[in-house]
Amino acid sequence: MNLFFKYFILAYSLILFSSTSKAEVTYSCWNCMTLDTDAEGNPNGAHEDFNAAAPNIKLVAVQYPYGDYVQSLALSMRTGTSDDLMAFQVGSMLSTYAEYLEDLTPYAEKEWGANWKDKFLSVGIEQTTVDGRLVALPQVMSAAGALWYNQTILDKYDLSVPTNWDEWISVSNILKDNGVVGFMHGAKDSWINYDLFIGIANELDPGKIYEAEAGNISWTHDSLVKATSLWGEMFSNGIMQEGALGNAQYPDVHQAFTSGKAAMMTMGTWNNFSTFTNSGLNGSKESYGFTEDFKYGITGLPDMNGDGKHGRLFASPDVSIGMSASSGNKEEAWSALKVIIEDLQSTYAKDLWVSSMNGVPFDLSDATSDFAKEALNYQLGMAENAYGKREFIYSEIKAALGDALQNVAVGNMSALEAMQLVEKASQTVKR
Amino acid sequence: MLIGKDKKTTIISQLILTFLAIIFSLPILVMFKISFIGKGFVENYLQVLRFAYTWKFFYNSLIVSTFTILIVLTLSIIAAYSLSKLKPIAKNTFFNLILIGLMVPGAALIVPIFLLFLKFNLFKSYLAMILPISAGIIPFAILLFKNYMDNIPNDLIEAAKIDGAGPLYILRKIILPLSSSISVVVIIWTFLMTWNDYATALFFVRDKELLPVTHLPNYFNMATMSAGNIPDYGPFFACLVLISLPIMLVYLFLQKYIEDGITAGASKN
Amino acid sequence: MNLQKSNFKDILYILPSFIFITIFFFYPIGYIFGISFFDWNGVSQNKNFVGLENYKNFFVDPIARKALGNQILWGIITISSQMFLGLSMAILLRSKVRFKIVYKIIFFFPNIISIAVVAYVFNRIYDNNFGELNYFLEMIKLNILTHPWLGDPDTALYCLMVANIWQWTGFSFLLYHAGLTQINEDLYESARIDGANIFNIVRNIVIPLLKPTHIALLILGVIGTLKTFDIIYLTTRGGPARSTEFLSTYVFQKGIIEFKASYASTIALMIVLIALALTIIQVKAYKRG
Repeated sequence: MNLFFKYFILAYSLILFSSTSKAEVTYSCWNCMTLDTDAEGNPNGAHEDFNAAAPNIKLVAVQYPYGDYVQSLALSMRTGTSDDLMAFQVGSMLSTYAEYLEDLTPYAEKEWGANWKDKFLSVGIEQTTVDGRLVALPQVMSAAGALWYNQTILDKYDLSVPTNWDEWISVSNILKDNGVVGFMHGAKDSWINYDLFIGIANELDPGKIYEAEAGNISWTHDSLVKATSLWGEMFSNGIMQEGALGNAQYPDVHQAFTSGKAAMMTMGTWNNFSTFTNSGLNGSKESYGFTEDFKYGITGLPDMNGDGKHGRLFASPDVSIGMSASSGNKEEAWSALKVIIEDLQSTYAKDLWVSSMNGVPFDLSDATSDFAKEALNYQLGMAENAYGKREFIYSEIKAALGDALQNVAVGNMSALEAMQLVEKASQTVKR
Repeated sequence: MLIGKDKKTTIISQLILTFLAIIFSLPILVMFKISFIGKGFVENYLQVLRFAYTWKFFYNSLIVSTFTILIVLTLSIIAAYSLSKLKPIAKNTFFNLILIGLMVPGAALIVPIFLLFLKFNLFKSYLAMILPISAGIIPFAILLFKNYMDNIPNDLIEAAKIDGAGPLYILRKIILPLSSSISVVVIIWTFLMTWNDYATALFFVRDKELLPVTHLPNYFNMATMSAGNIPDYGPFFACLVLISLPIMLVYLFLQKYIEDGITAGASKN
Repeated sequence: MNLQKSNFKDILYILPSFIFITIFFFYPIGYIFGISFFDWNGVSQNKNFVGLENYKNFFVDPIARKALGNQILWGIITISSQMFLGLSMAILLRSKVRFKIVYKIIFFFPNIISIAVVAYVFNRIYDNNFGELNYFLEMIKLNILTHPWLGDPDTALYCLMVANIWQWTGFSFLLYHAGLTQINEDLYESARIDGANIFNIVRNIVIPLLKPTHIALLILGVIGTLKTFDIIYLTTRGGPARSTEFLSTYVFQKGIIEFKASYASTIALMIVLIALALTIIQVKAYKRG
């Protein structure tokens, strides 16, 4: 009798579990966009939306600190032990791993038809396509190169947003004399240095930096040398704060700007949530300990090439997601990926991400004020007009450029010398 | 005497030492101080203690430390015994090769060891931590034990041999009891190295449930979107303090042995 | 004297440890030696054989040179500071001061906390805006001295050295403390009778007699310097402008961040060779002196 029950229970559980078992799709990321679960195992925002949109799929998303993620990714990819879906940065990271990723073109065509590309921002898809293969889909875009400013502070000192280089210097110095940081920059973080430099280079002569990366022109091109030179000057002509090389963009610059201690900074659309939404701003207020409701605005970098127009934004996918070529359940992984990419865009829009798909506006329901809405709409317009990208394809160039920028900032080298070194590195690249 | 026992010398010495002591204790005081900011002392620590993984990670570190200590002790004692009191072929060669183990930088080991673990599927097991850490400590432990055993006079051993004792008997009944203080040192040192390890778990542990306590601070970052990992200073430092607590306690109770032991291990190099 | 010949049986005791070391040290050295002859990004299935190109590049690499220079400077300053402070502490603690136990605990304490803790604490202390160091300077009205400590290439390395000295002086102190207990006190008595003061005694008796301790600290110090990684990685990552870059952090950047696994292996191998060479030199110098 006893034995019978044991077998019965065993069989019953097997049946129970097999019929209700969901396909499990694993996803690892350094920024899971709330697709993961919190420390107690409760689903975060996007995860709940995912479960609602795809109840038959069990998504197991795990977020790792960025450094840890990058280090262990190489090992897991090579050995086929990686998760079904993984997060990537476009550029050298994606190119390096491309050979281990599934080409998603057939899946996209089957899902959305032959014109599937029209659904996406082309600047996004371009950067997730390596050697003709669609190795990842962009989840959200980040457009950088904007000048964020605090209108409240500017009003206080009777200043307006600088529209050209000279104004940038004078406004910053006036603010400095009044105990406020003019333009704060986290030069410790190489990624924001790249953003600022690309912004300046694109403002001086749009696209030249990308041609240099492609090897079509030399890095010692006049506009690039000028960009480097302007970059270096910013550290000493009063635009940037003292000791910029010791500050990180997060938390130092973010904290100073949001709490009104710095009037300007360069940032991109990824920073929208913490500044322009009530939930984000309240979180910032609590962490940084301030209460004032500032008016934050967004525009482009000041005009530096004399055409009277401020700078444009440039964009790259912030997170793009690829599928492991050695995944054991590609069909389910694709289903999960489709939901994450397409269905959840409205979730991302709530957090003011620029969508990677066409026709998805910001969700302004939680915006802090009308002024904020204006700023966001202006930014969205700039983002739609974005030109170029944020990430470099060749790690040699990225490393050499990083060194060059730091050396010029510190005063070790002239702009020309620095660009010569980058050109030297560029020539070692096997294109 | 080396330094005068008169009042003037004593007072000067006391002043200098106090000055140094204050400077040396500053960073620790800073660490405690930061753990109080933000939400306040109690709340910060409670937040860490209430976190689901805190106890799990402490438990993991305990398991890994215990087994690493067992492995290191066993293997290094017998190896040191042989190198010190027995006559293995190529004794010096072995000893030198073992010491080379001390010189390899961590970065060089990642990829090859990873491939090895992959083959034997060790990623989701405590062995992923226990084995590499043990390997890292064994050379140093052998060094300490050997130096110490070299100082154990051979007459006791000779006497035992004359009575017909074999090498294992000598090890068990003579060497081991006499090596208690250096053993304590090795135990404490191994515990420190294992408890404070971060990198091994980073590369070789692929299961979130098995992470050691050193990875706990990663979970106390501010929840800002896409901002990367900025520590939420209050709880973050509370976490650091809690991680250091077991070591502090172990050290406070056993510091006398550490001193005696390192003393003994270093006296003949 | 034991007249037994060396035999095979006794090797069995060493074998388990040796197997561990072979698997976890010699195999990796062989592995990285192997891939240092290729051009490989650490990820791809494809590798190209390039012979000695990585080695050639290493010798002309200005960053590698700067990194090595940084490490040499670091080694000289940190090791000598630790030894000087450690010896001074050990000597002072032989006087009749009170609360010796407290001093011993405070000095050795930094040695036992995790390097991650050390890094985070000093990161915070040196922070330009919120750090305790600048805050303290402002409090005592020395505002002029406030500085972006870790952001200035001229100061960053030295600031990190302070953290290292703080962490490891206790270890030197302990070894010197041990060494001092073995010196015969009568030597001091005779020197005193001859009219020597403390400085004479230290210079002419203590320091020479502590030679084994000096050597031990030097060897461990050099090896430790070459392997230093965590403190740099967790604070400045080698910046700004490579002023805190070490060969060990350079290995990491090349291997993991830049996907240049082969070149990284070359650098790692050079670190092992340098460590080996320096250790052999030091041991030989000891045996000769």
